[in-house]
Amino acid sequence: MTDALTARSRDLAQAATDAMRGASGEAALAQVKSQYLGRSGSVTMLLKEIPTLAPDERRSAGTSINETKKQIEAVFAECRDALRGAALSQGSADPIDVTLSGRASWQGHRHPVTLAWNSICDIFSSMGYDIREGPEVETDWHCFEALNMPQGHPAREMQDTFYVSDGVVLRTHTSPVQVRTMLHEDPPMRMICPGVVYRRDNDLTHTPMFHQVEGLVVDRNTTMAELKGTLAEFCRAFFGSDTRVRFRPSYFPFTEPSAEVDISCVFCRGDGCRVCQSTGWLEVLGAGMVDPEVFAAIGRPEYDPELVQGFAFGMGIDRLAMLRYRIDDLRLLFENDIRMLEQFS
Amino acid sequence: MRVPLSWLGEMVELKGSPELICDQLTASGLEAEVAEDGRADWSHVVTAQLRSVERHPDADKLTVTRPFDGETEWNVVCGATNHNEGDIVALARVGAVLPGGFKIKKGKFRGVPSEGMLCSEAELGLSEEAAGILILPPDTPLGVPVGDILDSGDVVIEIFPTANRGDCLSVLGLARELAAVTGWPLLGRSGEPLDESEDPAAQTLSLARALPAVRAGHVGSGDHKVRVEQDAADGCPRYACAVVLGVEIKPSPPWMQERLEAMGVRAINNVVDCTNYVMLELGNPLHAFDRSSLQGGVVSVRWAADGERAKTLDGGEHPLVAGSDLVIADAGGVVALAGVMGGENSEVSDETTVLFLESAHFLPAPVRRTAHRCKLTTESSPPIARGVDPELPRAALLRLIELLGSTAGATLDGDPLDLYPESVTRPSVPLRLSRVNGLLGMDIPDDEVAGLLQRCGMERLEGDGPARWMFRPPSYRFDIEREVDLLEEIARLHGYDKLPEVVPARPLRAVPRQAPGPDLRAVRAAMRSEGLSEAIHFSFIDPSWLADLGLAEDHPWRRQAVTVENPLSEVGGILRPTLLPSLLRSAARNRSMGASDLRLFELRTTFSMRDEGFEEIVAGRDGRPLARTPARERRTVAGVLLGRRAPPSWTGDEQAVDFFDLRTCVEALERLLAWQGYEWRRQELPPFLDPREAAVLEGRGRQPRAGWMGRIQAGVLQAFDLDTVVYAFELDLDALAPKRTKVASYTPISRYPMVERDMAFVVTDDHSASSLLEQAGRIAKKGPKDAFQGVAIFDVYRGKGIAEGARSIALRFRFRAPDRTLEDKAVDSVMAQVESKLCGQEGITLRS
Repeated sequence: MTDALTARSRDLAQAATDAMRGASGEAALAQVKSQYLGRSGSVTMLLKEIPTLAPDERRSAGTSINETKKQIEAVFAECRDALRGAALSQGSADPIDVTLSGRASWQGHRHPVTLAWNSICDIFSSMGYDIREGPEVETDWHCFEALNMPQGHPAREMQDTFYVSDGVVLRTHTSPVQVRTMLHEDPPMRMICPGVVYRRDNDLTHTPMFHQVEGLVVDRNTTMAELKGTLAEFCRAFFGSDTRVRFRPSYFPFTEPSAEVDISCVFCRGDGCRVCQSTGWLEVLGAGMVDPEVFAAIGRPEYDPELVQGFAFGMGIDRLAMLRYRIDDLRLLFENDIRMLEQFS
Repeated sequence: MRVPLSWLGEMVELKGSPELICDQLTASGLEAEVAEDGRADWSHVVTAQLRSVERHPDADKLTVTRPFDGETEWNVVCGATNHNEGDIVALARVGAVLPGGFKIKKGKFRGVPSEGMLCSEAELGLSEEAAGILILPPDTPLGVPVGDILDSGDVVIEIFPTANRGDCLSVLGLARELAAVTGWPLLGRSGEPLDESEDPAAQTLSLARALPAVRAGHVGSGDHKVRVEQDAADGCPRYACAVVLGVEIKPSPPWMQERLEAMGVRAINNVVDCTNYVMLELGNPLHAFDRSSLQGGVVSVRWAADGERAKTLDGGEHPLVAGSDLVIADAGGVVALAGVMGGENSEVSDETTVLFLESAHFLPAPVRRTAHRCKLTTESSPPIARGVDPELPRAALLRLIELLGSTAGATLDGDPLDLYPESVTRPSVPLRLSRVNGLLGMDIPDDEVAGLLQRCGMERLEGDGPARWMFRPPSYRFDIEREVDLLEEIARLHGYDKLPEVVPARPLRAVPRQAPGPDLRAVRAAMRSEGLSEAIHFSFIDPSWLADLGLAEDHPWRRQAVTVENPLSEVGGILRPTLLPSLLRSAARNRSMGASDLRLFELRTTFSMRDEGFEEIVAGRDGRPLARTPARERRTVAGVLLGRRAPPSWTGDEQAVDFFDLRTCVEALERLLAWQGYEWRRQELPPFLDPREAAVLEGRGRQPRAGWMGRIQAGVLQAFDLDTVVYAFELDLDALAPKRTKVASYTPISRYPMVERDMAFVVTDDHSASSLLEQAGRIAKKGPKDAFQGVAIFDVYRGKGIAEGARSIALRFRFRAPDRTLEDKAVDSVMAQVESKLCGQEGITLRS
C-alpha cells in the first residue's frame, strides 16, 4: 500500500517536472504548479489519502509525498527563474546604435516678454513687493485724472491715447493699478503692477501695444536715495552685478522730483557702441517720488500727503527683454515667428 | 526747439563747448543735443611757430619751413609768400582732413620731403581768402588745436524740454536755464554780464514802466487811433499793443532769415519775420494786424458770440463756440483767434504801412481748446499751451517795435498800451529745510540750498524762521508752486549723480510671486509641456477677422465688441473677443515661412462690452468712477495645433495631429485647474468649428459657456490662408480656475490586493463614451464599501462583428478596499448590477 502511494507520488513528481519544464510562461507555470500543489491538486489529493493507511505506514508515505512536494517546488522555482531571466534579457540580437536620438516629442517655448515679465516679478517679490493687476480698458479718471493729469494737461500729449468712449481709454500705463490699489489697501505699501498698455504709436521703435511694470512704495519716510538704491539693486539682479545706474532729472506729472534712469550699456559695458549711440548708457526706467497730488486724489486719510511719502517707477518689459536677450527689432516680439520663439525655453 | 549757439551766446556767456553745454543741460533735466554742426573739422590742425623759412633749392615759388608745434619741429614745404620766420601759423599735420575732404599726407615737393601743410583761411573753411597762409597773433600759444582759438562756424543745438518746462522754449528761456545749471552769467543788451539778481527780460522791461493798468485805452493817433478794450480778462489777463507807422514791407535782413531758418521757421517778410523772431527770442507770441483793415477804430479781446465765424490766414473758415473761443474783434467782427491764428481780413499785405501790434498773455486753456477744435497748429499755440510768462508781453512788444524800426523803418505812433488790470503775482512757496533730507535722502548744507534756489531765480522772502524759508518763484517758472517743486529744483541743480544708493530696510514679509487670481505660470508651464510655444499678439483685431470666422453680425462676439474710437487702421479697430483669429494668422504666417508643424498658445485678455455700457461706471459716485472694470475682461488661453503629431524622427512615424492630440492639451489644463460644474457637449457649436470634431464646455446650472475645442472649418481655414488642418481650443481661465488654491490632501493607501474586472458593451453612437463611463462609475461605486477605485475605457472597436452605427467600448473596473481583501462574490455582484443597468438602456448591449 505504502509502496503504491510512494510510486504514484514519484510519478506525479516526474509528470509535474516535465509539465513545468515545458511551460511557455510564468502564468502557465503557475497553472501547472497549482494543478499539483493547489487546494485540489494531485499531490494534495494524495496527502488526503494518508489517513486511509495503516498507522505504521503513514509516516513513510508522508515523507515520500513531502519529498515530491519539495521536488515540485524546487523545479517550479528553477523554471520560474529561468523564464524570468529569459524575459528580462530579451532584446535585439545585435548591439543597437546608441547614437540615434530618442523618441521625439514637441517642446513648448517661452515668449521672451513672459520670461522678462516673470523674472522682474521674481526680483521684486524677493524684495517683498506684492504683485497687483488691473483692467486694460480703464476710466479716464483712473488713468489720468487721479495721476495729476487733468483734462488738457500738456503731459497727456506725451502719451497718445486710444479712446474707447467718452471717459474710457485703453490704459497708457499701468499706474491706474496703483490708484486702484491705494483705494483699497493701506500703507505701508510695496507693490508692482505688470501689464499690457497701449499708446497710439506705430513705428520702428514703438508698437501700439506693449508691456510695462510699474512699482509703488508708500510709507512714512521712504526717500529718493532709497529709490535709487532699489532700482540699482533691481538692475544688477536683472542685467548683471556689474551694472551701473545713473539718474537724470526728468518730468512726469505723477512724480516730483522725477528721474530718467539709465544703466551702463549691457552690450559694450559702458565703452560706447551702436546700441547706446556711443554714450555708454541706456535709458531703461522712469521714476520719482510720488507727487503729493496723487495722494490727495486718492482722498483717503491713510494717504494724507503730509503723513506719507513714497516712490514710484516704471519700465518697459519689451525693452528690457530686448536688451537682455539681444533682440534687435521690437516688431519680432509680436510677429510670433516660431524661429524666434524656439530660441527661448 | 533748435537754437543757434551764436544767438544763445548773446544772452548768456557760453564758457564751454557745444558738447559740454548739451551735457550740462541734459544732466540737469533738459535733454539737449548738437543738431547741426557748422564747425569745420580741424582735428590734427594745431598752432605752430615757424622756426625757419628758406627758399626751396629747386623751385622759386616754394619755401621750406620748419614749424614747431611745442613738441616737434617739422619740415613743411609751402607755396605761399606771406610768411616769415617767427610767425605763428595753423599747421595741418599728417592725418588731418581739411574742409572739402582734403587729406594731409607725407609727400615730397621737388625732392624735399614735407610733413604737413600751412593753412590759409580758405583751406580751413573760414573764408574765401586763399592768397596767403593764415598768420595768427604773436601771443598765440603753441601746439593747441586751432578749434580752441578760432571761431569755426555756428552750431545749432536742439532741446527737448519736458512738458512742464515751456519756459525753456525761447532763446531767453534757454539762456536762463543754462545760467541756472552752470552758474555762467546772463548777458545784458550790450553784452555785459549781469548780476545774479538781474535778468535780460527785466532789463528790457524797465524801459517803460509807465503803462496804465486799466481795462481799456487808446493807442495811435489821428486816423490811426484805436480804442482797445479788454473784455475777457479770464482768458487774457494782459494785452499790450501799439501802432507803428511808415512800415515798408520787404524781405527781412539775411541775418534774421538765417536765424529763423536755423530754428526751422520760414522767412516771409520783415513784419512776419520780426514777430516770429521776437517770439523765438523771448517766448511771447505776437501778432501784427494791418491797421487800415481794422474797422471802427476799435479792437477788443472777448469771448466769441453766438453764431460768429472766423476766416483764418490759412483760408479756413471756422464756426465759433460762444463763450469758449477767445477772439480779437473789431467793429466788423472777428479779426483773429486769440493766440491761435490771425484772420484773413486783417492780414498784413505788401501795401500795408501802418500796423497794429499785439503782444498778449493768453491763458493756455482757451488757446488749446480753440486750436484743437479748429484743428489749427501754428508757431504760437503750442508754446502758449505749455504756458507763457505773464511779465513778457511788454518786453516783447518793445523788442518788436525796436526790430521793426531797424528792418522796416517803422516808427511808434503815440505810446504803447499795456492793459494788465490785475497783475499776476506768483504765490510764495515755503521750504522746510528738514524736507530736503527727509524726501531726497541726501544731506545738502543749508547755504548751498539757498544758493541753488537763487541761481534759478527764486526770490528769498522774509521767512518764518531758520527751519522754514519762503521763496517767490520768478514769473516764468509757473511750474513751481509747492514745496516739492522747490525740492526738485534743489535735487536737480545739486546733481542727481550725488544721490546716494540706499537699500531700504523694511520689515520682512513673505509675498506670493504672482498676482491674485488664476495661476498663470502653471497654465503656461502646462502648455509648454504639451509642446505649445507662447505667442503674443496685439489686442487689436479688424472686425473682418470675426466675419472670416463665419460669425454672424448678431453673434455676441461681434455685437458686444469693444470698439476703439481712434484706431490705427493698420492694426484694427476692435479689442479681441477671442484669441483665435490672431493665432490663425500667425499659423498662416509661419506656414508661409516654411514651418510645417506648429503648436502655439496665447494667454491674454479677451474683451467684451458690459450689457449696461460705460455711462454708469464713468459717471460713478462722488466725482469718481465706479471701481468695476469698464469693459468685461477675461483672462483667456487658446491654442492651435497643426502638422505632425510628433517631431520627424528616425522611427519614421509621421501621423498628423488629430482631435485627440487637441484633447490631450485641453486635459492638461483640465487636470491643472480641476474645474467643476462644466461638461463638454456637442450642441450649439460655434460656426468656425467642424461639427464632426468639436465640443463646447458648457456650464451646468447658470454658469455660462467657458470654452470650446475642435477642428477648424475648411472655409475658415481658407479665409485665413491656411492650407492644412488646424485643431484649436479656447478656455476662459477666470471662469475655470479654482477660486482659491487647493492644497493636496492625502488619502491613506490600501495594503490589500486589487481586483480588476473587464466588461465590453456594444453601444450605439447616440450614447457618448463619457456618459457610459460616468454611469458605469456611478453604479460600480455602490458595490463593496469604499472599494471602487475607478473605471477607464481601454478599447474602442468599430467594424466587423459590430452593427453599423454602433461601436464596442471596453471598460476596466478596479476595486480595492482599504481594510480587507475583497471577496470575488461581492465584486461579481456589483459587476452584474453594472451589466443589467447599462444593458437595460436602449442601444447598449453586452458584447459577447
